[in-house]
Amino acid sequence: MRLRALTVEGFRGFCDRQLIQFSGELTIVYGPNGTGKTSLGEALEWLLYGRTSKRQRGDEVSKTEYRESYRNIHFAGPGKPSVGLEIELPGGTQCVLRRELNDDETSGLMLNGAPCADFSQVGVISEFDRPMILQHTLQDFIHMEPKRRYRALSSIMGLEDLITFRGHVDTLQGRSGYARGKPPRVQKAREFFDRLSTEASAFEETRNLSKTLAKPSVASLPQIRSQLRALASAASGDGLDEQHVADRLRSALTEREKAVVDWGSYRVREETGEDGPSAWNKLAESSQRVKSAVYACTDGQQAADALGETLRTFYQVGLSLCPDRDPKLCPFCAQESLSAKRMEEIRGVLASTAPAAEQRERAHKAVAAARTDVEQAAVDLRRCLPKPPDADGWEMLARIVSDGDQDSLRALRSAAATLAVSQASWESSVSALLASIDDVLSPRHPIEPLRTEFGSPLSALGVATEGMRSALSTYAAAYDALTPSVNRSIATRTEVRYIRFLGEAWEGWPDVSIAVYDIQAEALILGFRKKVMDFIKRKQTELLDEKQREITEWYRALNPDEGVTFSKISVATDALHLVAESYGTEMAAAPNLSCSHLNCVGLAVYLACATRAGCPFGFLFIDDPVQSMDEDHSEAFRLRVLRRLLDEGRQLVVLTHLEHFAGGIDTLYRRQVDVHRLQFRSYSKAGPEIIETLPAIQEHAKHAREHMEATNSEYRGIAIQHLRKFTERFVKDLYVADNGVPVSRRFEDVAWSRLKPLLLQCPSFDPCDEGRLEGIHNFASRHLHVDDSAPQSVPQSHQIRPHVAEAEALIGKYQSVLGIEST
Amino acid sequence: MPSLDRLLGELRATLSEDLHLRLLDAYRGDPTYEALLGACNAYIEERIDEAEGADR
Repeated sequence: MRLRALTVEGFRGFCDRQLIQFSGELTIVYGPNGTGKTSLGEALEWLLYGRTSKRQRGDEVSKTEYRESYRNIHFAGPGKPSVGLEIELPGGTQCVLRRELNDDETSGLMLNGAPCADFSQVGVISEFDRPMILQHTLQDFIHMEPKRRYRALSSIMGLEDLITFRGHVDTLQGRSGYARGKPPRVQKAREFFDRLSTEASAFEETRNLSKTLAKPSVASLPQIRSQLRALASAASGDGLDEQHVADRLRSALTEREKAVVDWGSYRVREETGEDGPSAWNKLAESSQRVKSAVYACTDGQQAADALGETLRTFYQVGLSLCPDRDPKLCPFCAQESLSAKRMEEIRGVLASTAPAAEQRERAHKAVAAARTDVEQAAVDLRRCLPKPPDADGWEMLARIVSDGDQDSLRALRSAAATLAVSQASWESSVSALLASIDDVLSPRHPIEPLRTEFGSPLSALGVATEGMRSALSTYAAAYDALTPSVNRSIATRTEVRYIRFLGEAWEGWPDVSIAVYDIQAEALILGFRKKVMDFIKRKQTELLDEKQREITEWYRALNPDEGVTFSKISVATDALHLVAESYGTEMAAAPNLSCSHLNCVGLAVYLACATRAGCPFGFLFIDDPVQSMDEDHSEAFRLRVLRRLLDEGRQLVVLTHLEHFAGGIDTLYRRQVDVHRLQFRSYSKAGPEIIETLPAIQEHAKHAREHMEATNSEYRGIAIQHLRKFTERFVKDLYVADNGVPVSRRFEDVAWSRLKPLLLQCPSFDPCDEGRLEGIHNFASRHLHVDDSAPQSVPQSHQIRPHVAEAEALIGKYQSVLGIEST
Repeated sequence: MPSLDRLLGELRATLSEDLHLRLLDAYRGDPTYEALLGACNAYIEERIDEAEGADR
């Protein structure tokens, strides 16, 4: 891609629309500071990439301060601030790129008038291909953080994607990557394995196992399994069947826990569902049956009572049947007789007598069965009642429970005491009920009334049972409160921990196995990372060696044979260090080299990047490259760097605020390439005034002529100044044309005697012209170097005129040698 | 400028481990971190299936 013309409007220092046309080979833009040269570079940068490096850096400092700084402060439209660029692609295709600034500082792009998302179609892809060397960014690379420098150069070398890949591999290997993205069961297995490994290191018995777990591999899995089996066998009995190892270890764990303290059984039974709820239910059921039996007894009693009355009536009936009595009169009361009604009643009584006896019998049996139920339920319930610790147990608990939980322990002791009292009361109630039932069931005369005094012992049992239930709840709550503390203490006992460890390891074998596979996979990922790292480093070194040669070459072009010099770029894992050398001793470049040297390093890096093979740009835009360089470095840049770039066929745009530097480039290359000279001047609200200029030598003659006729002596003085500069420029330009090397600035503003030796080294110079040139020079010098003791008046027009004519004649005579065209 | 695929191709030639090759091939097919993670997880799942198969 090569530049043809740039239009800019409303952007940075440009308010009014300006058109800048470029030479196909060399465009020299000269302008004093503050005339908008940098804005020109920024316009090109913004057009291509949508932002400027200056703004980017500014935004890092303060977004508010730099906000809206793209738009020219005086620009009022119409239209939007914009930059347009006419370019020529390889093959001669011409395109127009355009970017317009929106109010929100975003921008719209157009390619050949059609909106587009980017300029990739014409090869503008990576910012690292930036074909611009801007004075304010010259040392950016040098003062970059070594890591950023590494990324920047890697990107320039085409390794950015590979570095991104390495970043992904790093993430995969790090704790935030694969570790967090693992399938849940693998994560769970790893957590289990990690805990197991830590615990294994705590036991004497597992010292060997711990070593194996510390460096696990799939190959070591059988060994881990076999070690575990041997330990389990030793801990819980020899000759273990694989199927029963877990059960035996569980039993062994319970034993170990009990060995620490017999920690009641209520909770254990309730938790395991043994008897607890059903025993309470059974007691409730049997109490209900006792109640039912009581009702049955009552019914039987009533039946028995009814039977007694019937029997008495029967006796009366029998008496009344005595033959010597009136059959119709009752023998006892003589008031009633055996009427038909009475006979019917007797038959009814006789009919009811047998069922009443049966009913009594049934009640008897029900009471006996209820007794059995009550007895059994009581036995069941006793089995699930807690067995609070004995005296030794309490003592042990007092020792192992933490100080903070001693109140809970006291509460448990109190609950245990209450429970013991409740239990005694309950036992007594059970006994009273059973005794009462036994009394009922004792053999009696059939017609003797059954005793039905169950109500009192039964309700006493109910009250005692509820009391015990309540005491049990209190005990359970106190137990629950204390359990964590006791369990913690029990669990910290080495013997308990050890058996628990073995049990968990055995039962968690699938997790151990998964974790070991995963650990092996992680080791492989680590190995992969190393391979990737090694590869990138090797590749980088390879490419950097090549790039380094180019950077060093550019640097040497600017700094030949110096004792203190930039020497190389050294690659660390993910950082690049710039190394300098002071008479053979290495040192860091950034803090030790002079500003001029650092500018040279910066220039060398940017030049190596901008000129690398594959860069889509055929042009290079260089803004004030020699700003902090001394004369020798400037000359080296002008003579070696620019020559090489032009020899390689690159289109150059060089901006400078140094008139002599611009003139020097022009003189040096105008015979070799097409030079377009522009001058930025008279900066105003509208922006800079941009004019095309002639070669300096012609400009001086032209300005001398423009000012020589002025009546104002100040203007005529300007004409004299230009004549003076003309002679100097003429000698220097002729010297460069004949010798191909620039002339040092030492020859500026010097007497003819200093200039003359230069002229004598120019084969194309006609000695006959020496007097003409000397005449002009001395005429101008006399009036420029005013001696205050003998002031010279400014010559009149007629005095200046012949010298201007002489100058023009000399230009005409030597124009082909000087490589200039007649005006 | 060397292309990523060319560079990864060069890297592949230096690898021999199954997981390494899989990781690289997954990335070449889809140059994202997720592709690498997916290849890792697929690899470990396969190993676990193998282990469970052997246990059975």
